[in-house]
Amino acid sequence: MEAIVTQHLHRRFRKTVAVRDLSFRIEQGEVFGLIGPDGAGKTTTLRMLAGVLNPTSGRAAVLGVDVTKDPEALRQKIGYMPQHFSLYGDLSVLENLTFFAEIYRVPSRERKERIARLLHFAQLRAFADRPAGKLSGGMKKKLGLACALIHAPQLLLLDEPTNGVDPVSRREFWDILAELHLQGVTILITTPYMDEAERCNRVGLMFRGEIIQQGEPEALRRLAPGEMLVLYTTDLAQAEQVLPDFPDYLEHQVYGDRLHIFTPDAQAAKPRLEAFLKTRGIPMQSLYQDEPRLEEAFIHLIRHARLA
Amino acid sequence: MIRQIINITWKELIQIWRDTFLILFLVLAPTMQLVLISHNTARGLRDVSVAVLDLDQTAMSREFIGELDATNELNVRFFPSSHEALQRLLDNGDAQVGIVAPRGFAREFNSPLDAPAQIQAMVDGTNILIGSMIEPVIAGVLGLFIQRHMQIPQGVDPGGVEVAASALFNPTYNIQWFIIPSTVAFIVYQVALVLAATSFVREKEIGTLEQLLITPIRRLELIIGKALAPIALSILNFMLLLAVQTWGYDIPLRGQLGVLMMVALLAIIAIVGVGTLISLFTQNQQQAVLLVFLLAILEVTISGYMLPVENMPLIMRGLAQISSLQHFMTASRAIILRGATLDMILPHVLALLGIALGSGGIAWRAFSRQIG
Repeated sequence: MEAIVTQHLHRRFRKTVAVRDLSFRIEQGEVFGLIGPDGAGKTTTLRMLAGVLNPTSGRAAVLGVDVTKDPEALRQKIGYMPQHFSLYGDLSVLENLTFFAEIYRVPSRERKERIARLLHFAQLRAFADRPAGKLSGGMKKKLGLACALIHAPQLLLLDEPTNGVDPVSRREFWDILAELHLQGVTILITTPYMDEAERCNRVGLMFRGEIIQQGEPEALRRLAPGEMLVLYTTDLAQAEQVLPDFPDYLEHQVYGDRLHIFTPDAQAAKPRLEAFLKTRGIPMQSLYQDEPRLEEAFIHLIRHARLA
Repeated sequence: MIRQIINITWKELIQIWRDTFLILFLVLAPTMQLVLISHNTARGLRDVSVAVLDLDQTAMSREFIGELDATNELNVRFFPSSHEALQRLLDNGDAQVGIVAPRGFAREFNSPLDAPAQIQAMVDGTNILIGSMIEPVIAGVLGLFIQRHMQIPQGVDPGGVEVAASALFNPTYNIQWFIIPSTVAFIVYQVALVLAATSFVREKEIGTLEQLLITPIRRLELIIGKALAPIALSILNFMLLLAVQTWGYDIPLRGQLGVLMMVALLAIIAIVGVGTLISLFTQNQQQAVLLVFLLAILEVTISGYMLPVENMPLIMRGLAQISSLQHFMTASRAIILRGATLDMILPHVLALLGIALGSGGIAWRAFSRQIG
């Protein structure tokens, strides 16, 4: 059964179309990652699915419930962590959890045990009495997640939950998500980090209000244009200029001090590219073949979509 | 429903309690305002500096000057010897009032049927407060003085009509009786309005409002829950101020306490309703506080706190009808000072009820439409 099904979901803000004719489905128990550049419509999609924002047209069913028909019944079943998730900074960790437990009508018999488990889960047991405003960034995110989990939702909607969090806290956060995944919770997460996207079961790439590609990370990775050569050079600007003249050139992407060059057959192209660069007087420190990552595939897909 | 509301209210109260600055505002502002306003503006004149030019130089004139000095209001500090010297004292501000006892002052008392005793008083007109209040003081001293010293021949009836004005409800014309109950209402108004006006917008600012909206809590529960905290604190505030007014300033409570509390509760709900509207339609706390400030200026002007509502232009009187402060002040003063019963203040009660229901209804509708 699907946790989320949308049909021609559309949302306009005055003249701007934020989400365009969006149809996609997420299976129950899946971890689905929504990625895409800023302004692609990820947050708007999540807000519509959470029932905080009405679609201009189209339909969305979450856990079998139409989001526009009965948003209140839905809220009992989903946990939503908005991008700027905020807690009451003047309430302690424990008070925040208790407050949300009350609001979600967690029966008082279960409350104590559930809060204790979440505190342990989010590794916040030692900080139970600390005001939420005095927690570190990573701990705040974990407390936010704990609050979103207080009513044991079947579906979690997470909007860039790890944005601005240090790598160690990010890893801890994902460990928690992995455990929830094992418990059968469906997770829809947006993230700007490609390494996080690779940890999802499926990924959807959003651009200008549409999902332009979706599938398992491994399958999406293969959408990169051909094979990839990595070039380190001291004259990046010059190299970028002459590369399109190379016969087997498909595309290149700049990553700091190196160029990722795409070509149909990397093995065959490598010696020819070396010679090509020599005749053009481009200094070459190293040139080697590497596997394209999700990131290269996405940049290629978005470039392609921009031209279309 | 009830549990959700209590949960929200409890959370609000904890947050207010932990906000040191807010608590300071809640405790200090009312205390300072009540003590300062009533002590300083309501006590009337005190120790106004007086210069007396005694041209008569008789025992009678000196006795009169002594009696002026004996009042609380006047303090005779200068005895200039000429008109020029008196004028100088007034010009440079050493004396705020100049009094001239004319030559023949004593003689006129002894032959009352001639021209009456005349006293000239000069007052610094730039200070309206002293100017308007000093005349009755001097006239009063003079009146008593004349009564005592006028030698009316035996068997002669001085005749004439004696007008005796007596002040109803406030026999001594004590201005505190007017100012303090009004100030109490004004303080309760301010505190309730500020508390309510910042409640939603604060959550909007820190982003927790969207968080609450995606929980199963209903918007009406949220509105009521958030309104109950300022309502409860304001009622407490009113009771405290009422106690100070009754026992600290000895202002009698002539009406029924129950009626007064009901009016106060209704007024507070109306004020909190208006505050909640402000809170819903502003984007940050700064906007909300500025709007409260603006509204307070308007309401103070039209509430009858500074000027009688009856003397205002028509449009202002119209505005006064939708001012919760005006109805609260007028009704509470009537209950406290005149012992008004419920039927006498019914129009005000109904108006307050209308403002409470109206603002609450608009708040609920507006909030249901916001976001989404």
